[in-house]
Amino acid sequence: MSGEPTRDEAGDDRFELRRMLRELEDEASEKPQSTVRVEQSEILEIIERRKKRDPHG
Amino acid sequence: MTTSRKSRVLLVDDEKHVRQLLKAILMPLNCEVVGEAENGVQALTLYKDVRPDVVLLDINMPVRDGRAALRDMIVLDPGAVVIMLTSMSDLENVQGSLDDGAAHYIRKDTPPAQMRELLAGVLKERFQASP
Repeated sequence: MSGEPTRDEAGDDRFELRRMLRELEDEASEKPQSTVRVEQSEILEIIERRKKRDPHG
Repeated sequence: MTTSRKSRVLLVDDEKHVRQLLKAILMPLNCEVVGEAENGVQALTLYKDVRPDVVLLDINMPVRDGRAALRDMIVLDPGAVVIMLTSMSDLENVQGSLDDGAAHYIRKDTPPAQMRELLAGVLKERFQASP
């Protein structure tokens, strides 16, 4: 019998997603950064400030 | 009846596993991946061909990097909606990309749930008319 995804296959997908996420995190920590890293929360603040300064930008 | 059109997305990243992860993140967001590119040159060619609604663009890529590809796309289409999705998280790249016309900037190490939330926010802001 085949065709229908099984619980095991769904679990495999989640496992694969976690593995890919770990690879991404490893990649981010390995790549050289030229200057101080900006946190995502700071990036959002920068974007918000820009929107306020130039709402049509 | 809910028949809102799917947002057509071009994924640009030299690493296949990143593109796979992005597809999984985009899946619940009413998006259709209309193209995948591994560098800035491929990205621009595909952009011309498929005219996506949104581009998710890595920076650190071979042949032509994402910063150059962003500038190419904005010159070609000043209304292009390009979201930088990158492991480069220094202020120069963040500010420079936004100056060059990027719609948003997301770090690749952002947890998938938050990444999905950020992408959903951009799609909502850009493509859904307010009631």
